[in-house]
Amino acid sequence: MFKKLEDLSKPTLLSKTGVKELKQSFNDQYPFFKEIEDEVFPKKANIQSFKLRSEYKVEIVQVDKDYICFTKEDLVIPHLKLVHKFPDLLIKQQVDAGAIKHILSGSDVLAPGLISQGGQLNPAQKGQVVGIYGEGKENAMGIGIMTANSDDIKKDPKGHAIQLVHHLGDALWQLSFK
Amino acid sequence: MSDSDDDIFKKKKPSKKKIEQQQKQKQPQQVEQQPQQLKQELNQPQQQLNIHKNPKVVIYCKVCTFPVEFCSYSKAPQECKEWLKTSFKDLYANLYPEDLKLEQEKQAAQQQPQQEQQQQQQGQPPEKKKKKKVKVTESEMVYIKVKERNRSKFITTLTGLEKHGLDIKEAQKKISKKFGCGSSINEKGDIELQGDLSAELEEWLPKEYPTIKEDMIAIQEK
Repeated sequence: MFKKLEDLSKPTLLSKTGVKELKQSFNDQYPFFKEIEDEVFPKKANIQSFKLRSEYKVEIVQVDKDYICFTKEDLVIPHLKLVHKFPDLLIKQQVDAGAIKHILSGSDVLAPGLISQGGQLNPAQKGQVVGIYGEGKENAMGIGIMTANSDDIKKDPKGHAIQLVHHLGDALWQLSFK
Repeated sequence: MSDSDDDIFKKKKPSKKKIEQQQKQKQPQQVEQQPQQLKQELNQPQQQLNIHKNPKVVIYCKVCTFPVEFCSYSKAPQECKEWLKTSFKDLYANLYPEDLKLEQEKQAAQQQPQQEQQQQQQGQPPEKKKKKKVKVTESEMVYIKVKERNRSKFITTLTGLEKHGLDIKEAQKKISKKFGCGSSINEKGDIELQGDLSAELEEWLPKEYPTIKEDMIAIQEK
């Protein structure tokens, strides 16, 4: 999704209602967020948002020069750095060692990688945002959206299981190191 | 630098400076904590789950920007290793135990040959860099400038095409037909295009005119 980020607009301040809505949608999606709300959004923080000129309805949110999350349609998806800080925010799915290379270059997660030895499939529903972990690695390496229920994947392990949205080394990741 | 000076400083400008100072103080502490955390996780992975309310500190590689574990998947894993070795020795020992053993054996057995290798390695990389830099001279450069006209309207100007022996009028017509945009020729002899075409032009120019290579194109945004 973030292969190129050349058409980034100038930052605009988020309004108070905008921040409220953001927090609300965070709370709806991730139950763990309540406990870390004040750390992610400090009270006197400078909250800015970027819009992409060409592609879909994507908005990237920045708090005090740290990229926090981005919105895609109705979903709020955290930045990988935030997931590294608070690993319990997302449901964890683990893939086997052979799949790590392909995911870091931007491919989707296929079902056999989750079912085989070294993979781990935790219960999650279709459309939920999950963190993707690698076998033998401690930190998350990608964030994706489930394309099927976990029970269905167990029954019929074929095809795409998780749609990759954001991963280590993509344009959004590189933005946060400039 | 005395303590009293610092106190006065804080009282005058409390908000931003204070935060910066706190962050500076935090960073060295975090670096010290990291090896301890790793050891804890190795011993007691289950107890760690309860402490996650506080932010966890992850060390990122300065060469490839990945977390340190993923360095082996980057484009230049050797450079990452050397960086890790100099800055975080404990982590290096944790992540690459085999390499450490090998190096120790080497050092013990063959001290002289290693010095020669190092000299060779030091000699090689500068040569490569020189070759790349020599190829592109300024007289061959093609510049693409993007200027913002409105909030969402742009003008791109192309300069330096005539240095490659191209007819500017023909090139202007080709580009405007290819991308479907309005175009004009400047007083200085540059091509002006409607819209932000920097990314497309960067790909298309070397394909259409083989004398222009990718290294010769520079994008400047205003």
